[in-house]
Amino acid sequence: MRKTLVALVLLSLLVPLLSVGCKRDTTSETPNIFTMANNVDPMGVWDPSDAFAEQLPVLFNLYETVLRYDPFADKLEGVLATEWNVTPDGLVWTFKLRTGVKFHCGHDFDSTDVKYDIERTLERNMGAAFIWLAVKSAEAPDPTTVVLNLNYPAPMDLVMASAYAAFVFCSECAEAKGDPALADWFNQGNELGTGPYMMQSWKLGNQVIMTKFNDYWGGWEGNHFEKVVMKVVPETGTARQMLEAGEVDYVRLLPFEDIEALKQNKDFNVTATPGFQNVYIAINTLHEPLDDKRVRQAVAYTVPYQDIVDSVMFGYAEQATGPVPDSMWGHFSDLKQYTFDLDKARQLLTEAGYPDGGFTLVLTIASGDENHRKVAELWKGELAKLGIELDIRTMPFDAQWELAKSPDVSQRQDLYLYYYWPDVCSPDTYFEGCFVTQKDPIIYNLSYYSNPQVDELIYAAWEKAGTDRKAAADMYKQVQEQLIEDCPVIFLYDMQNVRVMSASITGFADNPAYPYVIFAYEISRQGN
Amino acid sequence: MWSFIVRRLASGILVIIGVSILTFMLTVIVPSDPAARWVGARANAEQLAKAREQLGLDQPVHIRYLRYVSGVIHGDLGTSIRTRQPVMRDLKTYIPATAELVLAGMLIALLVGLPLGIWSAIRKDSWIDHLCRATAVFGVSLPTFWLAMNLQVLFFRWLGWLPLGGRLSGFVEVAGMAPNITGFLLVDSLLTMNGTVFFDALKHLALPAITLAAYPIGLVAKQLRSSLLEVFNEDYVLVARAYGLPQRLVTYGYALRNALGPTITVFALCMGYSLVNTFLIEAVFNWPGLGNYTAMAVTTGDYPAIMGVTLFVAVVYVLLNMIVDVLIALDPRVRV
Repeated sequence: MRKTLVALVLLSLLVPLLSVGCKRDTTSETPNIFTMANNVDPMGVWDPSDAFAEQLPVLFNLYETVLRYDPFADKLEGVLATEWNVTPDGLVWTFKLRTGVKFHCGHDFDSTDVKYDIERTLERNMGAAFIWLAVKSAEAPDPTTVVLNLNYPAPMDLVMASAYAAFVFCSECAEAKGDPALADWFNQGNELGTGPYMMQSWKLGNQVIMTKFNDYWGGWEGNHFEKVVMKVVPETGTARQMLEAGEVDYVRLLPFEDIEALKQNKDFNVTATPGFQNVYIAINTLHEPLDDKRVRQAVAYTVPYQDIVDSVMFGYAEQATGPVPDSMWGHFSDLKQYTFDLDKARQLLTEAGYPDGGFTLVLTIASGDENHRKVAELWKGELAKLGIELDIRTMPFDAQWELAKSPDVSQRQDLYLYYYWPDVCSPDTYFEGCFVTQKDPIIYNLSYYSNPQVDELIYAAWEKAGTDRKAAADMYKQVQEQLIEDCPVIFLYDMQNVRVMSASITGFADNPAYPYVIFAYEISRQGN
Repeated sequence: MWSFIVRRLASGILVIIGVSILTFMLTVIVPSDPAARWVGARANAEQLAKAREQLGLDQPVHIRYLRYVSGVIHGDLGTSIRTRQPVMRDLKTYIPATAELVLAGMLIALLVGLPLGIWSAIRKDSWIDHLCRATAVFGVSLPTFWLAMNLQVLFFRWLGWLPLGGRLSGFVEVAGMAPNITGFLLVDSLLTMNGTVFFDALKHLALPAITLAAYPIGLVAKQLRSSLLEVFNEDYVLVARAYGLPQRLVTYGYALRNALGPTITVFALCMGYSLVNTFLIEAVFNWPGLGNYTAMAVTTGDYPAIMGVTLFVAVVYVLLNMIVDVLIALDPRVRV
């Protein structure tokens, strides 16, 4: 009895101890801090020349590119450049740079930085360095002029606005350190940018805190955030609770069910903008019976497109028309689209000699992706009606990738479901990435499609894009018509970018050219 | 005694070597392409080849293993393919967070589980016994993430007493207040006499530690109960009671020390297990620890990180078991 009493007394002393100072964590209710929640830890690579994955939300606040692209207006705007032009033959590009720009390290920005950065990126040849391949040489004739001499015509303005491998960093500091020490130094969480925010601290795998760069060329008049925090929150349930409690202002990725629920809450804004990410199903053109074009087309007619858009994507997508997503130049809405038409499918299969189906197709999807799993299940039911069995194999991404590149062609999958998104804002990224003949290595041409005329058109269009966008677009149209006819890939849907943001934040305009990036300098909290 | 310790150490080292070879083989057999991870999915042939060479992937397996071992002896566990940091640095960052969580959880487990086990043994078949046994069963069978989420809803959402997750509050982090000496926030804040950080860290530690403690509470309580009951049936206990010695003296003075053996063993195993299996707790509570790191390493085929974590866990298990064996060997009845 006495022991129980003692225990109770001790416990009751503990409770007030725990609740001392217990208030909600209201960091982001503090006016000048913007907090984002990311579900993966993006900061594997800090090197601005190498970064090629999800580091953008952080890097685009620390660094700037020379130009920036607005895909909805189809316009480029100068960030670190004020004017630019190209010679009629498309081989020489000249950029006039902005003056009065400083790096976080204190050095001044000039043309030698741009020249050095391009050369270093090409030399390191990591990540998305391939966007600069057209450059034969870069010159810095005076501090405010950069000249790019090309091997072949290419749209270098778009390349300067690229989401990857186009960051401007301080060449003086970089040269002083030199590679490989420089790369290691970057990857310890250091930066050499000109952007509005600079690094304050980095807790590996946990969060990045950035603070205002006082000498930013854009100035600090008006209502701007002083600190930007990016937290890693792997569990979406926790992220949602943090959002609702005001601990974060923005969550990068939430399941659609959560988004629908938050839409009802007037404390949050849910914006859905057309994006550049789309989903393809690559058909193995080397496997029987898929080597027959008619069978591929038949399979394309079996996909329940609208059902997928409505019930899997909750309407946050639209059925794709061709490989280029809706908001990108080079997209044509009048191209032929495969519809959900089982009769047409049956007719084509009969023509090809498979009136009752009678074969199995192996579909690989990346494990952990709920949406893809649902797509596969919906499709399986439809294919079964034609006597085709769909063998769904859920695999970790690495295993799926390995299988697709397997040297034994007969081992490879029949159907590969995957996301694609651009590096440079141009249709070329889709075509060169997924449809050009690739033998060794195979990059993203997971249908193993090879058509030399199409290859030629694709390369020619990229060169044309530098000087005559319209002509390039027409060439891309021809490519797309051929691809739709040959059907090596089923163009499933174009995704919208759905963002959930606290309603107190204004000025946010999602730019699909820079996926998941929030330019913190351009937004502010109301009521300040 | 010394020869016993030396023998255990030697067998421990053999175990670690065996584990490292097995794990290395697994990382080689399981399909993954570290070079592609290193360089990016859209690499061309040249970039891939360069990456393969950089990472030493073009060497035969046994050479790669030997290179790895020689690195380990010099304290270099390789570079993580995912984080691009030296694995040693990654481990130094993540281990303290998980270790603090596990130690706190285990402490709670002892503070709750031991009395639970003792009371239910002393008052066998009473309502206390049934309550304790039910608690133990619940502790062992409740899914961790379920418990974690419910605690969050109860203590954060409804009561507002404890924070949602993370190790420290946002304002503490942004203001740069957190000291970093050992990586154990409670220890560091005490060392720097920083009361704000100490209580903030304690509040954040509470829920995850309680969640972690659920399983070991059940384990300890049940194990201790059954050991104690066995001891209570021994002749010397009967004699002590017959002599009229008070229950308290019999239990704590004689029975307990004889019953603790299996409980300590099981407890040590549980602690070792918890070090890498806190993934679910870390995910729900946003705790930047080893569990999360390991899960990411496994799903991205980050073999240096996998090897690093495996070696660490193997070493911990061997040490823990050695300590436990030595403690048990202190009992003169146990033959070494």
